[in-house]
Amino acid sequence: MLLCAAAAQPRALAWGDEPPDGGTQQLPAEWDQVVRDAPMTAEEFGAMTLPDWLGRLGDQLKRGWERPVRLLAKLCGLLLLAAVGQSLCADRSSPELLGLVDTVSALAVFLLCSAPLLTLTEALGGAVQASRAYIVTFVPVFASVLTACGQTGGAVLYSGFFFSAAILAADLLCRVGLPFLRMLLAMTAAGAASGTQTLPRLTAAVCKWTKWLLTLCATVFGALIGLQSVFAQSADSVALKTGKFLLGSGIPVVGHAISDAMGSVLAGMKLVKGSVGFALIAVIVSAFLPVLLQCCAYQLVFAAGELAATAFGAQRSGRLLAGLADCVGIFVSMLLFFVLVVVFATLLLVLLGTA
Amino acid sequence: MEIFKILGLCLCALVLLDVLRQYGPTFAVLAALACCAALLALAARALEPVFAFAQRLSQLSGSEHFGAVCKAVAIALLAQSVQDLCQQAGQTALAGRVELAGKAAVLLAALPLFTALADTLLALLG
Repeated sequence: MLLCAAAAQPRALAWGDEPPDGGTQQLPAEWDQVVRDAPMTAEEFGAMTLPDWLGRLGDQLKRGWERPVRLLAKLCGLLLLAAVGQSLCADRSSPELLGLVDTVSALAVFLLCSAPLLTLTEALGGAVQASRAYIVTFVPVFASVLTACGQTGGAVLYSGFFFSAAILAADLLCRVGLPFLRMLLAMTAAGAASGTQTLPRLTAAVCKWTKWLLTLCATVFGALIGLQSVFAQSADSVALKTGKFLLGSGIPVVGHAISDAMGSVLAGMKLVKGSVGFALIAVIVSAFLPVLLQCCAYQLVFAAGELAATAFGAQRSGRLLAGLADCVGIFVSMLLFFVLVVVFATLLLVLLGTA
Repeated sequence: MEIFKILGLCLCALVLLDVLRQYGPTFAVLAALACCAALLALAARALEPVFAFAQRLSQLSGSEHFGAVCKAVAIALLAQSVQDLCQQAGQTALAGRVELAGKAAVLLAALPLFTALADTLLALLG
C-alpha cells in the first residue's frame, strides 16, 4: 500500500501543480480516460450556480415532458369523446351494450398508452445495460485509485462486494425486473379488457409488494456496504498511521520528512479519487435522470387521466389508468434502487478516508 | 330552438300513437317507427355541433383508435333505439336479438382494437 502511494507520488504532485486543463494529462491513462468520458467533471459541478442548475433542469423538463403532456391531451380527448358517446346511450334498456362501449374506450386508452410505456421499458433497459457496461470498466480503475489512496480495504470491498452487487442488480433488473414489468402491464391490459375486478386488485397488490421488496433490498444493501466500508476504513487508517509512524521513527533524519511528504501525496490522491468517483456518479445520473423525469411525467399523466376518467364516468378506463400509474411507479422504484446502490456505494468510498 | 320542435313532435306523436293503437295496432308500430326516424334525424341535426366537437377531439388526439370508439357509440345508440321500439311493440324476443346484434356489431367495430391489443400483449410478453 505504501509502495503504491510512493509510486503515485510524482504523478499526483505533478497533477496538483499543473493547471486543471493540462493536469489530467499526468494521470494514468485509465484514470484520465474515466475522467474525460464523464459528462461533467467535479470542477464543473462545483462551479455551477443556481441559474445554471435551473437552466439544465428546464432543458431536461422540456425534452422529457413534451410527449407525456401530448399523451395527456390525447387521453383527455379520448375520454371526453367516450363520455359524450356514453351519455347519448341510455343504460336502462341495455346496460351490457353500454358496458361494451366502456370496454372499447378502455381498450383505446390502453393502446394509446402502450406505445410510450414500451418505449420507456426499452429506455430503462438500455440505461441499465449501458451503466452495467460502464461499471465493468470503471470498478477496476476506481479500485486502483482507492489502492493508491491507501484504502486497500475499500478497494477490495468496491471490487468485490459492490461490483458483484451492482452487476447482480443490473442483471436482475434486465432479466427479471423488466419482463416482470411487461407481465404486469399485460395483466393490467387483460384486466381492462375483461372488466374483472380481481386482476386490477392483484396487479395493485403485486406493485405494492414489489416496491416494498425493492426498498428492503436497498436498505439491506446500504446497511451492509455502509458497515463494511466503515470497518475497512478503520483498518486502512490503522495501517496508514502505522506506516507513517514506522517511516517517521524507523528511518533516521529524513523519516519525518518522508512521512509528511506521504501525507501530502495522499491528500492529492484523494482529490483524484473524488474526480474519478464523481465521473461514475455523473455518468449514472446523466444516463438515468432523463428516464426518471419521463417516468415521473408519465406517472403524473396517468394519475391525472385516472381522475379525468373517474370524473367522466369511464370506470374501466379509470381502473386501467390507475394500474398503469402503479406500473410506472415500479419503473421509478427500480430506477431509484439501481441508482442508489451505485451512487451510495461510490459516494461512501469517496467520502470515507478524506479526513 | 330545435328542442321545441322535437318536444312538439314527441307530444303529437304520443297522441297520434295512442289513438292509432286503439284502431290499428299494426299501423301504430309503423307510425312509431316513422316518428323515431324523424326524431333521430332532428336529434342528429341538433347534435351537429357535438359531432363537430367530437371530430375536433379526434383530430386533437391524432389516434387511429378514435374511429372505433365513435363506431361503437353509434352502433350502441342505433341498437338501443330499435330495441326500445321492439320492446314497445311487445316483441321482447326480437328486442333481445337486436341487443345481441348490437353487441356483435360493436365487437366487430372494435376488432382492430382487439387485434392491436393482441399484438401489444405479444410484444410485452414475447
